[in-house]
Amino acid sequence: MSSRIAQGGAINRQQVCRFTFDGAGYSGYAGDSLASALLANDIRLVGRSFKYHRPRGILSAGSEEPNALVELRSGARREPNTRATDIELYDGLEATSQNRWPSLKFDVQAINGLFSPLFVAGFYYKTFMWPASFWEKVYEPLIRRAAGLGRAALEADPDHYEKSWAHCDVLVIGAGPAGLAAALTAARTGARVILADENFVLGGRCLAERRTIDGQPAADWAAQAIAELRSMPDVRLFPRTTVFGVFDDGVYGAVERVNDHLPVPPEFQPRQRVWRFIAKQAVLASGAIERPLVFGNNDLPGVMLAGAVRTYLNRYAVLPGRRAVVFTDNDDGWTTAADLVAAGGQVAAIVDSREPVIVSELARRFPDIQAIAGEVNGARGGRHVESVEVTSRTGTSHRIDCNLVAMSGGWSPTLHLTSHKGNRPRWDEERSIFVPDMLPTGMRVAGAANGDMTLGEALVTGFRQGLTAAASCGFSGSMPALPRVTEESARRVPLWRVRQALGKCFVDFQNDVTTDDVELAEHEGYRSIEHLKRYTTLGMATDQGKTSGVTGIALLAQRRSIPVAATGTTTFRPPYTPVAMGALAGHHRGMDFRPTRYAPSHRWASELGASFTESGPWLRAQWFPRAGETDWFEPTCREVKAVRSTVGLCDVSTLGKIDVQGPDALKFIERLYANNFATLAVGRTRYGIMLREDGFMFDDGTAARLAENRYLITTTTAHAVQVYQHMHLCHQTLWPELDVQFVSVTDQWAQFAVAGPRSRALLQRVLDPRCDLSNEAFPFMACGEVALRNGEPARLFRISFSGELAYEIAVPGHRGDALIRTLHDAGQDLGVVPYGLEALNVLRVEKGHVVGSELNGQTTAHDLGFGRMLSTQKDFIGSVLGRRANLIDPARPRLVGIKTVDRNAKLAGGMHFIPQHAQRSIEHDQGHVTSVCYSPILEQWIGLGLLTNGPDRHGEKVMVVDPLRGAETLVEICSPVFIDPEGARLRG
Amino acid sequence: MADALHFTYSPGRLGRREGAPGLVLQELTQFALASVIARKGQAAQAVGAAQRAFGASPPTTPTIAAGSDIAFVWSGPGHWLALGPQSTESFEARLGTVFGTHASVFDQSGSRVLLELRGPRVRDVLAKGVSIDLHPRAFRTGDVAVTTASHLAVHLWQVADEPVYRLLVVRTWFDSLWRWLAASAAEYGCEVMAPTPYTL
Amino acid sequence: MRIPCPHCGPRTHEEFTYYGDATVRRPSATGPDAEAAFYDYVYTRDNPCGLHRELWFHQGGCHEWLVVERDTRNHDIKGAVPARSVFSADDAT
Repeated sequence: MSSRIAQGGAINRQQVCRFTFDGAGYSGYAGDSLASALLANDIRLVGRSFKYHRPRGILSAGSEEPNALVELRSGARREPNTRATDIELYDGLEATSQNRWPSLKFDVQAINGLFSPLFVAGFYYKTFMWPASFWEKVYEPLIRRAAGLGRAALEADPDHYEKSWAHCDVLVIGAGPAGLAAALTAARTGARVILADENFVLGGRCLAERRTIDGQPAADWAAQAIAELRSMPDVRLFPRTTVFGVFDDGVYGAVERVNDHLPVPPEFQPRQRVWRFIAKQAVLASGAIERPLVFGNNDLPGVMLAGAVRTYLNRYAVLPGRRAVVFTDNDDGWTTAADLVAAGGQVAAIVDSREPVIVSELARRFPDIQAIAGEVNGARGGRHVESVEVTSRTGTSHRIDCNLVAMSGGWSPTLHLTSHKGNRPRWDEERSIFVPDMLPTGMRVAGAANGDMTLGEALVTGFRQGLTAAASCGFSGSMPALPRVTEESARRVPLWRVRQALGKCFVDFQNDVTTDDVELAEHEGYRSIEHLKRYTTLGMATDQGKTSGVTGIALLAQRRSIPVAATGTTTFRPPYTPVAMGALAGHHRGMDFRPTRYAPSHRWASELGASFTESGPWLRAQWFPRAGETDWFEPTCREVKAVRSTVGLCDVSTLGKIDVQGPDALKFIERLYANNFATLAVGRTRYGIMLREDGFMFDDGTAARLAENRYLITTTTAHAVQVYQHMHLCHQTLWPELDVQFVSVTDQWAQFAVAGPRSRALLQRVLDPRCDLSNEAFPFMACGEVALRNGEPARLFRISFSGELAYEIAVPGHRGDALIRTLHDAGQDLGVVPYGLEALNVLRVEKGHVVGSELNGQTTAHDLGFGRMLSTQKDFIGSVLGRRANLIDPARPRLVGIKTVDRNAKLAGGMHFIPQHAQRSIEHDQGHVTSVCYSPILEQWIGLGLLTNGPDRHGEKVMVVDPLRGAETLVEICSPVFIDPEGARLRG
Repeated sequence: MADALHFTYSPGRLGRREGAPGLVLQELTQFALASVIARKGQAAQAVGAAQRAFGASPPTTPTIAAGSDIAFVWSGPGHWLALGPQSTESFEARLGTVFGTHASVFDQSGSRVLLELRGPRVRDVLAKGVSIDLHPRAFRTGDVAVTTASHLAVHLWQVADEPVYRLLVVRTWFDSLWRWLAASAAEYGCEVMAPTPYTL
Repeated sequence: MRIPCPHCGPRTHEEFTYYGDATVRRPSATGPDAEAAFYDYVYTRDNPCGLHRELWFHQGGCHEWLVVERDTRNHDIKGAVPARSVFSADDAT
């Protein structure tokens, strides 16, 4: 650890952390970042650049880092593009450099630098334009290999992520001096406070500077403030938590890296947690980001931001270079020189681009350091800076040997979060910075984020904004005595680029965008800052131009000879720093991606070995295979035959059920359904259709009149939620005068179809013997309350989806499992068979009943053969527009049955109808096949379809074609009711 | 024990095994439940009828009001869930007699699963799926929220300051709620208690 | 986005279902121009830049329809009232 300073720093020298970088072993201390540990181990070369594969080192000490991106961990936990500068070092950390081949020190694509004219602004668009056929096969793979960032893991992430909500009065974003001050004053009023900071230690630049507050080191002041906050019950501290987005109405998105500082999260703990903070008020105290200066080879490893140099010296006790040159356009750079000297480093020269009078005034404080009023033209070195070329204002040039260049182009307020709701920052010409202007409702800004750059200003504005924010929430307090702080100055005369440069001058390090690229783009007409960004990629990728954005804007302004204010900024959008998709998904991945709904018979069905399928959110039994049945076909055919010959059981609880009561229940139902219900007697059920107001079919189901003013209506499984919502909409907005009450009882009733010639016999064994199921007492479409043999109440409906003698029996949801077992046991000698969705589908196709494939949102009642059901005696939803001429045109595709002419031919859903001898083209398309099945009763494939003039074409032969799969066959058009068209069976 | 549909509700420890559990979870069974919706313009009369019969005024704000053996959980304007002990008598009929023409009554006894949640980390667990503020300044004993937990519709109310919460969830969604609850409580450790009959 | 439900209190927008314009009114089905009037009612909408009154359903809460006033430019929500009160008041006039 040759660059480690013997004493000081916020590191724990008792706790050694071993880690690897590109396979080689090193060690650092707890409290180190990966970057500080690499620097302590004299590792300067950390990555290769995006386009030119130039050697890159560590530029910054925070989340703004554009260069030092590494792959963290390995295997399934490998995470690309993590910033070495804000990774907390832990024992066992594995990091790998990115975008280099075969090795970091020798990268064959560094030759790209020699062909840099090929890689200028817009090179993707220019170089890879033609021939077009080359794009997918040649160019894209080439670009992806060459211009890559890190590699994502290929295996599924083994760790757990989650999401959580937290509420507060005041959210403070950033725990530097301003944030701590704001949290203190807000919390002391009794307000509920959340304080979040992206770093693994709270304190911000209090940890990085040799400053004092009331005579004590700033870090000690911060520690006291944190201790006070921690002692308050309504304050929550969130280190390692990046507030990445500002959303509407005081919602802030944040990601907490709960266990990223461990190789593997402890059992049962998440790796990361996404927070949604709901805050009445927020104080943004996100600080500022230092700007690099633009000179030749300013990307060489060893060229570092001056403020970052101080962080490494003071917080991490690392000397990033023994012999430094400081290059600055402001007073703050001189502080770095002082800190370097204090830490035992050597400062070969301070180069200050400002007027000699300013420089000599400052130089009096540093009699031992050579101060030059002038510029660094360029850095020299192979894989690391070895010297700089400097030109003084007087015109003399020097070469100064050094292995560290600390550069300071001033600090830009970190105001990204002020812009997430669409507000643009304002250019402050005097200070040459963008400052927040219009703010999201409830947000205030304190400290450097607002352009108040000194420690004293940070504390004052922090205290004040914390207090005002709390006051806005109804809490009162008072300003504390203002602490005495070390004096400092933020004077600056901006130097956007040096006048004479040696070598490439990088503006955006991550995207390899140089001053030449900016000029070329402007020359080619990309004059808007948004166009410049897209054309040059300046400000894109993982760092989103945190260090480069303002300089890019200023250079464009300079080039166009317009004020920076007129150039504007690009748009800041969430997230502030990259957020893993896994964290955003949280618990909801894999089978928890969305909730699953289990039918009441689920356990019974799984015990029988049923195969299940998703039906909307529901998991429903598809078929119940018996020993020896290996596919879906055999059990389905067997189940269909059983229903048509003995008796079958099917869980139909998934249908939506809505109980409608009240004196106006009938009026309400009459207006919802298109057909007549006024004549429905108590104890009877009727099929009903609902239209949308535009006249198309909405849903179908039954309504059972349970009592004078009580109806139980059913909806399709798919539309249950929409129908329920629609009913509320109609009641609450269209007919609020109706005295009607209704509620969903879908879960209250477990409902089973008992279908087949022996269904009556089976039910008689299960129901109270006094219950008369004869045709006279309980005819087709009857409904009523019944009792089971054990006395428990149930409801019985004589309705049939299969076309057989059939019933549906319902019991309260928690009794469903018991009832299905009772039914199944009681019917063994009757040949009872459980049947699933596949059989249900065959049974309904055989009877021509429509489902979702036909109720597809594009069909009308007339199309589906319900035209005559539409009442002309009443107003109902869809009554007016449903009468439109185009909707009742007989030439519309209308419902028909189809059966193959060749009894061995198969059908597929989605096949199109084409007249027999017509060309297979869109002009001759006459509709499509909606549902198909193999009918084990008819022993051939049959289907339903929507065919132009369909009902008038029974007996005609038409081709059905499937051009996608190259299949076609001849079918005969017929009635959609294939079995028992007279309905004798269901009335039996 | 009410029949869960997919997984097995079994007493024991979930997640972290060391130390006291952060969440204690217990299913409450053998309750009767009904939706009560006031007829048009009859909300005050419905409240009066309940007050006379059960000693509890169905609340007009999101709270719970408990009477002799029946509690009314606010569910919307003029809309309550009546919660009482299971009995051989029909709950719907019993309430129907009391409310008469003032309200419609719908039996829901089989539609929901009722859980009681307590323990030092119960708020942290709930925060992972419930978006409302459960801080004691915002939500107190007797308060009710009709909201979502992990995207599933629930009624949530607080029954003691400790705090203790009750969570009523739709039966057919219960498996998904359970998976979220178990995952969310895992880091704190969760003790699942044997189901117990519901009491007020 | 958070919607201040007049019954339940402020809630996250995930609890709500959006429907649309709350200012259109269902015409009479028996009027002379019923079809044209219904055509407008179903299909014709303004697309205002600024405040918009719209229907939202509190699906994850009290199951009440609300009339929410929202600024289409920035999602600022000025308030929400029960749809019943708005549409019942219509009837009275």
